[in-house]
Amino acid sequence: MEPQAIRWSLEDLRARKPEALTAMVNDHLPRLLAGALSLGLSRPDAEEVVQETFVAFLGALDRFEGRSSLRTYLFGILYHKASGLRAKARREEGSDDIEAVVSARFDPAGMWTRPPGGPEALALDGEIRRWVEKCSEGLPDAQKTAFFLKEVDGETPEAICNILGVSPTNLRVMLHRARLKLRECLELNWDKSRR
Amino acid sequence: MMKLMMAFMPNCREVAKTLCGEGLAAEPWHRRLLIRLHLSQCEFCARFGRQMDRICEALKAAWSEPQGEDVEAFKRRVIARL
Repeated sequence: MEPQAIRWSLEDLRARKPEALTAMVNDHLPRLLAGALSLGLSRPDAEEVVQETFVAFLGALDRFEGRSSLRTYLFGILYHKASGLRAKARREEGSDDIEAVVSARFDPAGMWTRPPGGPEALALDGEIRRWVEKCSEGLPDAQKTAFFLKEVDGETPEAICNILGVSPTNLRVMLHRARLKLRECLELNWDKSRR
Repeated sequence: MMKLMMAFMPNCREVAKTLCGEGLAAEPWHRRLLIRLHLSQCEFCARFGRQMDRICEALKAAWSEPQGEDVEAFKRRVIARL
């Protein structure tokens, strides 16, 4: 989980050794950039946030006690900076009624009354990928980040809760809602494209 | 035995909830067995499950780490700034 531990240490970073700074950037930049882009930032904004993340980390390095992994710590800084930037750009969605939308698909006995439509899983790879990517833009930042860290990054639930500042129960609800919203959005786009 | 299993069989709502929650792996073995049995008999839940898998795969591909010369150039800019 911590490849940098073999090649450089926090002491090297505190001493601002160029080789340690270079190794840290090489180790963590691609993942941080992917995380910033997954939040829906443009490439220039994502690069700015990643740069600011490294600058902020070095500025706060003396306070970093290593209680969380560097990987988690850096992503925490990135998430807060990216969310701040996006909050300026747009208002966050208010209500979250996906549970009601999905619940209306079942009868009181729990059987489908409106079965899932949309594409079959094994068809139209490229098309599905584009729609899913587009649908992900509509998720709140915290849900997007939780999904990125869990499904793409393989981060532990504890680390994700630490980054987002949520409880394990909240995290489960966020991931559950994110998946439901993505599927509903996928079905909606599929129906529209077939009309 | 079959009657007993059917009595404990989760309904579609419960299966869908598991599939978009932590997944089958997080369930105890007997519950996994019942859900798999349900999926083998319910076309709608099976489709729902396949779509969930595909959504994860699509986002993994869309959000993979960027690579290429522009990323290397960006790394150099960041290192220079630090």
